[in-house]
Amino acid sequence: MAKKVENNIRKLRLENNGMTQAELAEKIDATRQTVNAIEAAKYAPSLELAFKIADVFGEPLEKVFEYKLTKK
Amino acid sequence: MDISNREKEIWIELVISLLVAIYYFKHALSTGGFSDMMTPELGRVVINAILFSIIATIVLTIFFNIKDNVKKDERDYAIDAKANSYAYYSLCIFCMGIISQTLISERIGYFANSQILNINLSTVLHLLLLSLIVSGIIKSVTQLFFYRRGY
Repeated sequence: MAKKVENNIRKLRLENNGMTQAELAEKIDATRQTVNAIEAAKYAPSLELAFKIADVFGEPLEKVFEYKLTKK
Repeated sequence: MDISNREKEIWIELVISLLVAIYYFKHALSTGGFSDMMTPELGRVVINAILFSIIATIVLTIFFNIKDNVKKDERDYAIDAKANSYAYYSLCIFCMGIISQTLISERIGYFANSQILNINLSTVLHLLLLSLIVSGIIKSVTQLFFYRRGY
């Protein structure tokens, strides 16, 4: 079983006036490519970055990120 | 395929390193073994290689419109750190190999008739240079792998 950090960032972005990846990246001081990688679950952000993202959407961390066990 | 400026920079570095390595070692191995490093011919090859890499880097950077002000974030630093550690380990292995080969060649006298494996000062210098180039290539390949596949 593989462990993966999944997220609802894309959904939350679109619910927030259609925020773009670039706009989110600007708010959390990261690059657009990193936001893209996080959304695609290709990169698990640090705790600090995860909190910054949750802060942008005004949601608790567990609503934005989820730690899942997936079948390999 | 969406390639970031950072990935473009790494591709340019990788391609130029490979071209310079092929050019240099084609001349360095032209005598059948490693040629003497202190010859004027090889000196010219080195100067040509340096000039080529500087000019090629500038031209390709302008051609692919790579901006200078691309910031790095935690993911870039994490991938750089991983790539640097792989390059470091590979460099250590190569250096240990060169040291071992030097000891074998000097003390035991094997490979005395081999132009490549019989170690002399020039051979050691060429092998160290090759180790540095290969470690650099390993670093670039590792970075590209993690940028594409995810970290």
